Amino acid sequence: MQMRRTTTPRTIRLAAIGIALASVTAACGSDDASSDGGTVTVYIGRQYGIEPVFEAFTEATGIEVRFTSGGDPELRERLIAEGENTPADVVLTADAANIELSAQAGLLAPIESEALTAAIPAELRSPDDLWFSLSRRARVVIYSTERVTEPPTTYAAVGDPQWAGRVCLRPSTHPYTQSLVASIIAAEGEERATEIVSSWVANDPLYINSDTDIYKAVASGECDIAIANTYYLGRLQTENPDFPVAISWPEQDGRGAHVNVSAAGVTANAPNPEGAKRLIEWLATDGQEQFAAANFEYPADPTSPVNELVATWGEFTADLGVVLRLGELNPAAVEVLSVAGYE
Amino acid sequence: MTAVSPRIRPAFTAPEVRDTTGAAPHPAALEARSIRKVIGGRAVVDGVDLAVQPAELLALVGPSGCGKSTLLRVIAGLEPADGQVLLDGADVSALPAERRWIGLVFQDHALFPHLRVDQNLTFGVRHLSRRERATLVGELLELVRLPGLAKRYPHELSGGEQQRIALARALAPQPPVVLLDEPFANLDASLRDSLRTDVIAALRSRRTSAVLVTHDRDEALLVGDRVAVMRAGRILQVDLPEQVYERPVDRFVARFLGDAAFLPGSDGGVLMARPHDLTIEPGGADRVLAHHYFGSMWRYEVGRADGSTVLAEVPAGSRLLEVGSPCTVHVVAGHALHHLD
Amino acid sequence: MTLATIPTSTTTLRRRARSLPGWVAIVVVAGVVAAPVIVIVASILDPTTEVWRELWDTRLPGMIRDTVTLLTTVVIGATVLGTGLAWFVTAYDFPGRRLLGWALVTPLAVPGYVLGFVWLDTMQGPLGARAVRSIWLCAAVLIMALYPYVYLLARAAFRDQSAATVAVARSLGCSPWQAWWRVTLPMARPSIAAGAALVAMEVLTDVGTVRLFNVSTIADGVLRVWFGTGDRNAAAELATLLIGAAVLLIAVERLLRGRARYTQGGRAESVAPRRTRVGTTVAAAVAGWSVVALAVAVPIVKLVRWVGEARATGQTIAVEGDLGFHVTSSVRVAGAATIVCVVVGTTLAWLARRRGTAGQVVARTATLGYAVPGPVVAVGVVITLAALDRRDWLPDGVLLVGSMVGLIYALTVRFLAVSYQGVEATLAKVPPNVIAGARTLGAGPLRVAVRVELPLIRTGLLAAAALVAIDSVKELPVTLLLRPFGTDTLSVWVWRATSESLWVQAAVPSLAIVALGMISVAILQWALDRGAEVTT
Repeated sequence: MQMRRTTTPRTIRLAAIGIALASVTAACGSDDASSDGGTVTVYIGRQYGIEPVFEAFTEATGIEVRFTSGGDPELRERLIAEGENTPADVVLTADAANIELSAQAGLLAPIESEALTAAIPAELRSPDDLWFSLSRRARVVIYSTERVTEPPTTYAAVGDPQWAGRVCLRPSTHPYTQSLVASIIAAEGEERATEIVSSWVANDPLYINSDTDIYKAVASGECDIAIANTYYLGRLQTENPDFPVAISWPEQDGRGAHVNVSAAGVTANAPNPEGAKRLIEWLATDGQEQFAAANFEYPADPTSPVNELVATWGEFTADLGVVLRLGELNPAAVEVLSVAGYE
Repeated sequence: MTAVSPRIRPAFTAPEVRDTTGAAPHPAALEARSIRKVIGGRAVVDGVDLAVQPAELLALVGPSGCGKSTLLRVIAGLEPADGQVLLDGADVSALPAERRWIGLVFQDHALFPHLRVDQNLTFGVRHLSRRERATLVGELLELVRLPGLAKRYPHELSGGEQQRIALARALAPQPPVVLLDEPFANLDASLRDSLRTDVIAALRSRRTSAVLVTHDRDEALLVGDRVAVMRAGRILQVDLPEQVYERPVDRFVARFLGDAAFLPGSDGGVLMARPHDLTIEPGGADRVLAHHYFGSMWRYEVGRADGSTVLAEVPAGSRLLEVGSPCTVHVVAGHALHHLD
Repeated sequence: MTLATIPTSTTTLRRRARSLPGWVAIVVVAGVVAAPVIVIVASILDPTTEVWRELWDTRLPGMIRDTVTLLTTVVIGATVLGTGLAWFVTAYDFPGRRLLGWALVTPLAVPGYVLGFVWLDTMQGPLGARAVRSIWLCAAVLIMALYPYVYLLARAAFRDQSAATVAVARSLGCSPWQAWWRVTLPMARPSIAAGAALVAMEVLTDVGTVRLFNVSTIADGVLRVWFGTGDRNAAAELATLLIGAAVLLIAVERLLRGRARYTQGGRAESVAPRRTRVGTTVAAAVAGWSVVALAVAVPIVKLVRWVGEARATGQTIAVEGDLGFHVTSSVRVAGAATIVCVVVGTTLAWLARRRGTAGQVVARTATLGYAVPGPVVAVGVVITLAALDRRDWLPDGVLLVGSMVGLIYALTVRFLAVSYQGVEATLAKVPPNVIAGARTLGAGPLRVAVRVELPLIRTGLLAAAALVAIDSVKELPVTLLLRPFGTDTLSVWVWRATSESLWVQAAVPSLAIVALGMISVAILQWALDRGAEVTT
């Protein structure tokens, strides 16, 4: 092969210099904001509708919020690795297990706050005040209003053979599935939980890795019943008030419907622990209604008003007793799911 | 080594007597009739007729781009063209390359780089048994004087060795005709001479007809039983080497095959003079422009009185005429100059 | 990437001793880039048998089965498709040949996860939600997304082949088809294998696309174990399994190749594109354009329609800043990563050349990040950088984790293989005589590198840069975990929308990624055409 010398290196050279300069500027300009008194830094594992809430906080308190969103486990790994150098003040997770794992890893500092202990019930905060729930997320049985008249009223009933080939479930990779199974283990023991999950699997469920798509699958007739979180229904009903899927609150004669939480804690090495505490306090009090409503969730503070649309789904008993144990039971849940052959 | 044991097709029997006149009693080993190939509106090969006799080596010579390589590809069946190609009297024009049974050797040897030497050699003879193939490989390597290289890869061979293997590979299926496209062009001079000798010997020992394309006139004259001179898609002359050299049909052929001067004939025609046809004597209207020593003779560049320049030779040992000396050019005694029509 | 072209020359001890500084440099550079991968692999020194036993009893056999099925299907599919299309556009002449040749590269611009959710949504209607989530549709999507790697390399190989070789094969009794099968294809094999190795790496490390289709591969299992049980060690061990599989693949290919070489010396005239029967040409052109339609046109049309829908619906995810802000972030990150990858890749390839197998092996360790799933690389980088941060060697308050430098480092770890591979291949084509000539004119090695080699490999560098840029723009897991505040890229935006199943909201950033990718593809194509011009 004969190489040919080209005579127009200038454009390439200029482009290269340009990109190099841009990246250097980028590198310099990137990390200038280690927290001063006016900024709280949040590692956040939830994506939907959070920004207006933070804006309202800034408006109310003058404290700026900046956040990095990502998967809860990845953010936890990052927090572990950063150690005392972390820029993060607040960890805000999308489920209880992940915040508890952070607490166990020593990543959180206790929050002494009367406002928080007053607002958040004891079942929804860690005993040593390392984290506080900010909203409740119910995982329930949903069914097609067009094809189902008697939906299951327990999680176990989803495994009834009459639903064979008619069930949609979320894959076991998702924390929501894992925490639901963890709650079943807590209530009924590992052996019975394995039986229940196996009965689901025996119904040859359609696994869909998205609650929104699970709702749509029930609506379109791909399945008749499913297990999903309630707030996605809020989003879908906003688009279409006649969305043909309804909630069947499970375990209402017993422990209550499975509830997970969105929870927050102050990091052990927070550069701005005061600001962090104020943010969490605000989210649990003044901002509580907005925080929950932003995603059609239930407030963690039982006295806080529920969003109008959410209220139309009715009152329900929630399985609050298990929330604090979800983190501890999660590995067992993962094992049960594996043993049962849940996808 | 004159015969390779496994016969893969009906043995091709060449006549014992070499016939150089073109009027063969047997059908020609290869005959091309009215070959015409147009590429991009230009006739690259423009009505070529050519015959190669059994066991004959025809040198096809011409300047770069004259269409000789294209003609070869047409004969081999690699490119469609108008006209007919006959092998041993049979029209193969409609046959694809793989069914024409013509060997090919290229300038860049074109060995299969992913195959060992023995695998290259047996590429075209797949139906043989393992043992037959081993025998064949041994014989072919003997033929091209490279015993013991069977298990090498092409990149582990020198350029000359690669070209020998390429020839052996072309001969493996015992084709009656082999086409060689500038097979020695990539090699340095010393290697080229010995390789050329061996290649010709190999072809002769197998009594294989061959067309050798070259742009090197000395090679053409040296190698060819006959020489065909091609220019701009046409064959200008096909004849014995000494005929094309001494009796070219026109000025182009004359010049292409060697230095030539053109002198006015007494009848108003043109005479061609090779340097060895002319000599000089001191004194006269001509001038010595330069001289070159060739060991056996001196070659003079002489400016003539009419403004033309000719080459003339004087045997070594005679007195040297310095540049600028006056001289006279005349025809060597006994040489009859060729009359160009 | 392909560790597939380790030359097997030998180096004398004398030469090694003389080039000690070179060795130090190569070990240091390779060590710095390989550190995060080594950190991960080192975790198997502290094995966790408990999780393994449970995995083996439950999911691991299924994961291995899915991985092998997916890997085999995608690699074979992408290889056949890429090779076939490459052959078609190099060997045949037909109207629109150049345009199709270019268009067939464009699927590179569409990230697998975007192609995945577009096709998931498109096929859900006709196939139903159950049938659409199949390993076969997943494989089809990955084939469409990944075949260009094979296509690009095979096309270059076919272009470089000498026409004479095929002609000789024909004269030795091969029909055109036999000649293709026995000569053309085997000669292109190393390039095709290199492309297939790239595809294999992408499949082994993919975590975004497989999840959409409920396919549980080992890479998915790494995340499942790690995030489900919090057991980082067990996850790292699984990841090591992946690295092992990658190294094994490469070793097998090397062994099969043996001593043979596949390139031809000399100034060969390459095969001229020829016309063939109209029917054949039309059929092949339709096939080629169909691939482009399925892999590029359908996603773009669908995304554009979603952009319209997104305006209509009220649902939003939290996105800081507008489209321009995200584009700027992506360009900055990808631009910086590209420059660093090319500079480090060039340095490493230059240091490693003529240093024999040992040099190649050392340099290649730096490219292992390509065989590790993105999230695992990201965590390896976080652990490595955080260890440095704890030493307080930087000025107060300046940290590597969460800095632009950290992110670029991580992307380099992940994608160095892409640039190294490209640079190494180009560097190998610089005739040794040119270098020798420059040296005899009194230029030192460094001066030769800058004045002679660098200008000669410039188009090769540009092509490598374009490939890294494409990968960096599409990259998600590493960027997600390591991006600095205020540097949300387009891929992060896509992730945040899709993690909430708001496909429609992902349309705008997805389209922007495709657009940026197209620019890089155009540069790549330009550079490759220039390279090809030289050879023909």
